[in-house]
Amino acid sequence: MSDEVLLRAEGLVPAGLDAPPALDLVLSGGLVVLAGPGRERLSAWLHTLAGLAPPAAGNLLLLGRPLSGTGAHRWQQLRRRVGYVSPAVPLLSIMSGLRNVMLPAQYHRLAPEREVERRARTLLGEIAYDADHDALPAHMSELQRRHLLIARALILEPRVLLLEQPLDGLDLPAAERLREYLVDRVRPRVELLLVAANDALLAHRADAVLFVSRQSVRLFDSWAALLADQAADVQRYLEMERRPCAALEPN
Amino acid sequence: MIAKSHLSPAALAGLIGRRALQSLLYVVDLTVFVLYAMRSWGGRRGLFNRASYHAVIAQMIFTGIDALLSVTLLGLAVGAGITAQLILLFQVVGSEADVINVLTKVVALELAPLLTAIIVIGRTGSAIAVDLGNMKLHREVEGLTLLGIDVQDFFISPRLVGVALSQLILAVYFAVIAVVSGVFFSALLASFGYLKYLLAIPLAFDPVALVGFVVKNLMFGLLIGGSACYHGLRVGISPTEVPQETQRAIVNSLVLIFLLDGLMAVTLL
Repeated sequence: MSDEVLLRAEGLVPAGLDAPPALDLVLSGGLVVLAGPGRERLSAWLHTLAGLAPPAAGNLLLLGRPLSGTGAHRWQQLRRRVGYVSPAVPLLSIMSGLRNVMLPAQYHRLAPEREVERRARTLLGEIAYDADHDALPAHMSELQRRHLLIARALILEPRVLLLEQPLDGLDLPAAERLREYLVDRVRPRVELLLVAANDALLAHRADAVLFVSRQSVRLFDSWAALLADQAADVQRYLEMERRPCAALEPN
Repeated sequence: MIAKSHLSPAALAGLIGRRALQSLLYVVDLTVFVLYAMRSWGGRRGLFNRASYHAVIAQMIFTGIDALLSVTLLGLAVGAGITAQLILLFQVVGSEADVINVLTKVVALELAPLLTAIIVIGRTGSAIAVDLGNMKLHREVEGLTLLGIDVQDFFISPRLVGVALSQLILAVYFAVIAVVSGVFFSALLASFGYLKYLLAIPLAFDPVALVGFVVKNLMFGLLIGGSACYHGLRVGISPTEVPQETQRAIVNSLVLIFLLDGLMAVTLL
């Protein structure tokens, strides 16, 4: 982790939630998992932390800059440096997988076309399956599409990447492969990886866990710290999420 | 039992007034939409952005090259059904100058842009509206904004430029096919002496009318592409909105094309 503060929230309250608690947070890097009961609550928090939705109260600073008064040009520059990926916001259906990955870099003129293609192929090479990258997204599996969504964001070399429920709806083997990809490939490529996911195995490998519930929002140093917490909302959440999984048991 | 209509003259006038105002606001809205997209095209990213450039080329291939067969067939049909008949008619009732005049002004400069525009609306306008509508519906457009991509710059202006250039090129192609094939058909039907028009017609075009032809076709293309993009992006969250907006794009394009054509004909007269 670097010392530079990448994300700072000061009394941040997301809009659209019923009396949520305010968040004071400073993140300088690493893998942070956003977990807690309620998918919509997690999405609202992640949207707000990504600067995509104006907060009901408080301030957000991304890469050291406040978001208020962001113009169109600054918005474009910010989105290059702060990526946001959600399976609900899919690839362009009219372009092949490779073209989808190349597109943002081409648009922002990061490099000549050949170089962009080389970078895209490098990113696709890290995806551990044999897919036809010239195929349209409609002909791919859900896992392939999610890999490509993340690769499309990574080609811009963002400093901060926020992922919304990347493992949601995948079967166990697919979820395992994507989880490995996130930890082994994506995490080293960005300074701060913030993932909204109620996934104990991923949270177990995270540098910190940001727990959000109706009553509280708190940053834990690790998944183990969260497991050891005796707060009622944390225990209720753990009880709800409990399944045959070693990662849920305290060390 | 027939229900009585309760629409008073005042209510009828109000209804007509509201509809007229809505139509006017639609035209203003569409014009602003097109101008905003073109400003984005002429701005910082410009013609040579690779991502936009690919989109322009793809649009031109779809609108222009893929439509060549339809345009050729329609051009031949107009040549046989209209141009040849006009030549034969005006040979009887008018002079050689009248024949040349009617072929240049009516067939080449009026019919060609209009009929080409109708093909472009049917093929490209509908395709763009469905395409963009579905991408909007499935949040693919939103995905690009999250990557810092300007939707106007990437989606709209390349389509407008591609459709406008394709409309112009197709209209020229249509005019050539319709006039040349018409002269050949009339020569086959009546006299090979009519082939002389093939040499006379290209020299008979008024330069001002040619400029008007270019401007008209570019405006037709911008209007068709603009209407299709505008309606495509109006699709919200329901799949039923895609066919509804597509139908509006087609009908509004047709109406506006004829209105614009009439307006330009009156202006250039």
